[in-house]
Amino acid sequence: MKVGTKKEIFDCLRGMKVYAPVGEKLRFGEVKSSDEIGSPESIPLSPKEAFVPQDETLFFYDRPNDPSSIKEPADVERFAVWGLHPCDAKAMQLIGKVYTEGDYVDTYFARRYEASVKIVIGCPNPRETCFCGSFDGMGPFSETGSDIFLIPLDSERFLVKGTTEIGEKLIASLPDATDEDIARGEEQKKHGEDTIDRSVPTEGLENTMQTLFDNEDFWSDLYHRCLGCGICTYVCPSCYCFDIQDERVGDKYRRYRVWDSCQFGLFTLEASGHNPRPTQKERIRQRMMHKLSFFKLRYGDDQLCVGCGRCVSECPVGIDIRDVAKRADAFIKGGSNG
Amino acid sequence: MEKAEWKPKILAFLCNWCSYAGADLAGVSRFQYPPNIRIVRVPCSARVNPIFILKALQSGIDGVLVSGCHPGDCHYITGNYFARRKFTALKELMDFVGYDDGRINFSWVSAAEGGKFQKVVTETTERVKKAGPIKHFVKRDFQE
Amino acid sequence: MIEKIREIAKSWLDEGKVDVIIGYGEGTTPFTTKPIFITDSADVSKLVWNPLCRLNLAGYVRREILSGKKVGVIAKGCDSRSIGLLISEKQFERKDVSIIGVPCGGMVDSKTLRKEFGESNGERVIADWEKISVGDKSIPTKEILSNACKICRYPTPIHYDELVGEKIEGISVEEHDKPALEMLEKSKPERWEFYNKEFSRCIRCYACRQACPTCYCDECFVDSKDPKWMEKGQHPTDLTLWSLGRIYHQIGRCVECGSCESVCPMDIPFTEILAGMSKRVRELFDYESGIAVDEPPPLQTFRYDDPQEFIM
Repeated sequence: MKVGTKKEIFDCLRGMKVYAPVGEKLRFGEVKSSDEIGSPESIPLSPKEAFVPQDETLFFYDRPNDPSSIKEPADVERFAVWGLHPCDAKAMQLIGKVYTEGDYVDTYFARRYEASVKIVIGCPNPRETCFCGSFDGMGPFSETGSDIFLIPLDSERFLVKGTTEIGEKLIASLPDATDEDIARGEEQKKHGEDTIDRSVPTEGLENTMQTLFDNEDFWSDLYHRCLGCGICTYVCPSCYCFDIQDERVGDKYRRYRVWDSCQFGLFTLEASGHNPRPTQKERIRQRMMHKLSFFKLRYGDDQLCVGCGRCVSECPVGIDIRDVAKRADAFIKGGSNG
Repeated sequence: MEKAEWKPKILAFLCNWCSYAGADLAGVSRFQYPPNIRIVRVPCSARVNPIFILKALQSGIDGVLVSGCHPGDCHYITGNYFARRKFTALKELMDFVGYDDGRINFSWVSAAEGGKFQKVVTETTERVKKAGPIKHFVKRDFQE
Repeated sequence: MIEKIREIAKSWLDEGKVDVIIGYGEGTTPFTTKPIFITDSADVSKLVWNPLCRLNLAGYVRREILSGKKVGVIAKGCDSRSIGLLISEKQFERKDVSIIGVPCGGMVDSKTLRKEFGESNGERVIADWEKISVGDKSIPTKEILSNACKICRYPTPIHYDELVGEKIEGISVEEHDKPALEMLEKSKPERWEFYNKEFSRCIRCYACRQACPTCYCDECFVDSKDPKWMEKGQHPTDLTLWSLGRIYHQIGRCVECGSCESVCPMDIPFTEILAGMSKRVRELFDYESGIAVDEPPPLQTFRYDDPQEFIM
């Protein structure tokens, strides 16, 4: 175990690009010094944008309809992302399941993920909206998906642990932690583990949700107020859908992708004019089912929701995924749905 | 070799029945005016959506002129009255957010006013020259 | 006051005067309420009324009426004006909606409260128009009203079937115009730099558009593919073009409810621009949105003597 201040840890990153929360931009961005690093809690967005950018060039081309004029975007050099929480690190792995496992690999995501050094910060003081502990195998100090894991000791210093070979090498020059530091770290860890919300019923949820798919009453409360904006999907670390567009500037072209949201009306609009998810009912249901049922049933092991609580705190109409899980559970147990 | 002096690129939306005809008359009468305008003929000044103007500026056009019939003379009776309000609204909005004066211009030029067209284009070109080559709100490269 | 609201709501549902009552209910997170849709009169006890009832409900009213329901709604001043505006745009008729008008002392953004109070730590949040308090900490409500509410000229609903509560005076025209005039004191380059910086944070979530009751186009100009007015990416000019285009479409229609600014996750300010635009609409066209339902909004009509000094 090592110990270090923000600056000392930053210096270990030895000239690679560092993405961190930028307070005044309210999102993740490149920082040149440790002074610029803000707190992840002060921004609504997740670190997802370091791996799946909101606007990412797929390729450039000079002549439309001429594949030989295609130019690949620049290589992604090694970079560090500071300020993931365990929920975010887990979410990146889940996105990885979709994007990198199977017959077709999303090379854009894959190369970013492989080139990244993930600096994950544990949560001694989970927010009221956090509920990662309600999911099996997850918690505010889970080290899954990290290269370097930090436990805040006080406002300046962190316990620093290299959780992969890469991480270990990078932090090797930091001073060793004292017994006091380690004890304090345990204290912080215990506080986080004790206070995280474990009350959201997730056991068997993927099956419960399946039985509620056609239940009009269950979804009625949600779809009436859902505005159909993209806030929940954009702040979510495990949402990964995108739209592809072509752009021309002068005589140069590029194909790029941007975040898309299943909550937008046009998301499933087909060329024929038919829309299989024509109203907000089908769309909000889709989101909840995906996060709490479909993904787990398809990929096994984990729900797609990682319990970060960002959608809960950012939704302008108070749609609460924890409440959806609770009502589903209550429905199955007692036939009521609150 | 001398560095080329910047020549403004101005997009002019001219309504078919009045302003475009007025521009034609200016040409036939050999009235000289600065050659920096590129003309887009529209049926009526009301056809001009303010988004056209903003998109033109974003594409690198240094200035825009929209010209229609005098109020009361619109070929479609009321088109230019609606257009007048739209242009007022756009001007107020761009003014409020501090956009460069002189890049967004409007005029009424009738089919008989070849002389006025010459004056309007000269004035518009002066205003755009004063505002300088467009630097803000223009997309010259991809965002990456 | 809430009792009277619930009473009216219940009687309207029981009589069959309305199929659904749209109002606010308690949220599942501190400092929030959520819009609720009550169809069973036994559920009226879920209705709440406090400074957290932030969102403009008129957009829901339009949607429900267009789906064939008889709608009742709890309306603040701004909700009522939005309804008036939608009627003047012939989206529905006055008789299609029954309004429980409630004079409003101003709303507070939940974001502001989260910043001021942090977590609630399980303590009950008390929110009324005197103060918002959590545990020991208490802030006078009028100190943290949302920006749009601070300059509200019509807190008392103009259109209503029943009015619950004492009428509240709106702010004076001079006070309303202040934020816009303060912004105009900055030089043009300063304003341009300010707005481009603010718009550069936009993540294109379109919450502003979805929350706005007067944004109801079947195809929004931002989604138009042919012609494509702007790209969907993050180029700063596209971000500015999106916001300016949306605001342009609100000129003469916006009632300054502040929902757009309130829902924006990136804290993009709209109050000054929208106040500035409504000021000019008032000065140039002698019009205030949502008040006279038989008058079309200014950009859908004209007068022979409209101002035109800026036209050569």
